[in-house]
Amino acid sequence: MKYREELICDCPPASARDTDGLPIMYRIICGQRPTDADFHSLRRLNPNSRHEDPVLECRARGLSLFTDPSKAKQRTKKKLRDGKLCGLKLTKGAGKIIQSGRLGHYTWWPFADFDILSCCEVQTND
Amino acid sequence: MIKFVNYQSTLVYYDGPELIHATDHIGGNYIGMAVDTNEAIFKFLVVGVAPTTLRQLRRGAIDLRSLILEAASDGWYTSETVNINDPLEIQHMGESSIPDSLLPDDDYFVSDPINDENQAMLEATDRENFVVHVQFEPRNPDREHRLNCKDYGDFILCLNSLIVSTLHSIEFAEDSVSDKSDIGLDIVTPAAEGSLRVLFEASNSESDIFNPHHLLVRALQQIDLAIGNANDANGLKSLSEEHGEEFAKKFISFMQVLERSNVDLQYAWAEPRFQTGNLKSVSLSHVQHLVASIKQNSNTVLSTSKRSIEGQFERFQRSTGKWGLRTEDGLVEGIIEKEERPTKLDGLEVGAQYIFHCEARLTFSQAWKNASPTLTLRKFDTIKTSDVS
Repeated sequence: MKYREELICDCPPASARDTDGLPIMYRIICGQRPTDADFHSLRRLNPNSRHEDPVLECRARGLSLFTDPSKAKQRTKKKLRDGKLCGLKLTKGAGKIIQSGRLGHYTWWPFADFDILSCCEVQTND
Repeated sequence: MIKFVNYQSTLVYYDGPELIHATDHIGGNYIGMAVDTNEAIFKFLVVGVAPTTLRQLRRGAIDLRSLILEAASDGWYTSETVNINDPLEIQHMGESSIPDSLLPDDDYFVSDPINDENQAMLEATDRENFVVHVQFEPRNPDREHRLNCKDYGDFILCLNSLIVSTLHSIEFAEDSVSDKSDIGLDIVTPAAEGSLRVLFEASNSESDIFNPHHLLVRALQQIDLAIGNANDANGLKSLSEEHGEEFAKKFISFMQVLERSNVDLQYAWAEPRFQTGNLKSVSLSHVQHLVASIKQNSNTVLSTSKRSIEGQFERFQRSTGKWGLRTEDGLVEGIIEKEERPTKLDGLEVGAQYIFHCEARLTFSQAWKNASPTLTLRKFDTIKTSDVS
């Protein structure tokens, strides 16, 4: 299966799971409506940098999601704090995902043919 | 004056490091918080923090905004870099106040508050690492308790052996081999006064963020279960069947040390991602009951397994049935059962090379003494001279 972003060897890790059976996951978008640019990884935005550690490099090629909307909105960058929350109902075939931090932080590697924008619902009450 | 700090770890991540911990060349601690910039460059607001403040931040006891405002009274810095692994040059911004647009919200906490009673969880959070926290409880809390140095040393070695043996049994069960060179535990002497307690910490703190210390976590889960289930000799037999003879032997050695120590043991273990630590108690009365059951069953077989040994047939004692086979690792001894001696002996020739297929039987008494199992010869294959290289 082809991923949306160019990944490195052994990425995602073997322990990453399919995306079915997950609760709604949350991600910040910068405008009123979700756009493709809201789902670019750090590495896509910053292609000249590269982690020496392959695990960290793999994370940099994934997207951050949170299970808890209030935790998702607690960001240090004002641009993100001012953004809107998008709830993602991920189904099987959306990619691979793994919990990768505290406070319900997940890393998601979407498949290339998954239509992200159609499953992204902007939260009106945030 | 140009000053550099070195990135240590990421405390918060969202499509990149949001909050980092860095240190300078003399060990001073700094917090770097990502602020708005173009996406190709990391730009951080940096403040120096005391170790206790950093600990409070990690434990969710202080919010980030308060920490930054407090720390900034001594000055604050900014830093820009493309690669976070390079030394970060920090630029002093004087003692002017930080623009509000750069500060986080009032209620920004790095972690949910951690229950102060859970020492293992606190230590795991402070150290960003897997920990096992062991506490010895005196029988009478009003009196000090003395622990023999040898018993203390044995306790440390036994616990380590038990964990290592568990890791082996997990790998054996899954028929997998991993590089275990960096899996292990160090003993930490905390930089504070304290009574007798031991803190073990994973030797490698830079664990895989996707599977943080998963083998150590599983090993401790297995040990917790073993302690909960092994109530008597039958329970130990089940342990041996499930996890192997070596695990059962290490477990029995561990119980011996606990009995000698004459204390109730309390230990807890945690990994920074947990919501709470796993707390376990082993009472002295439980240990004494188990030890009594082992002693009552000293001649009972704890485990049987098959073993094949290759070597030169060196000696045999007809009256006792004892034999010796010289292997690459030294002399291995075993027995032939009385009724099988005539038929077995007909085919064996001193000086010749054989593969002995044996049944290895370990009694509770042998396990207690950490002795090898008794090998009973069941059949053998002769190795032709031309096969011997």
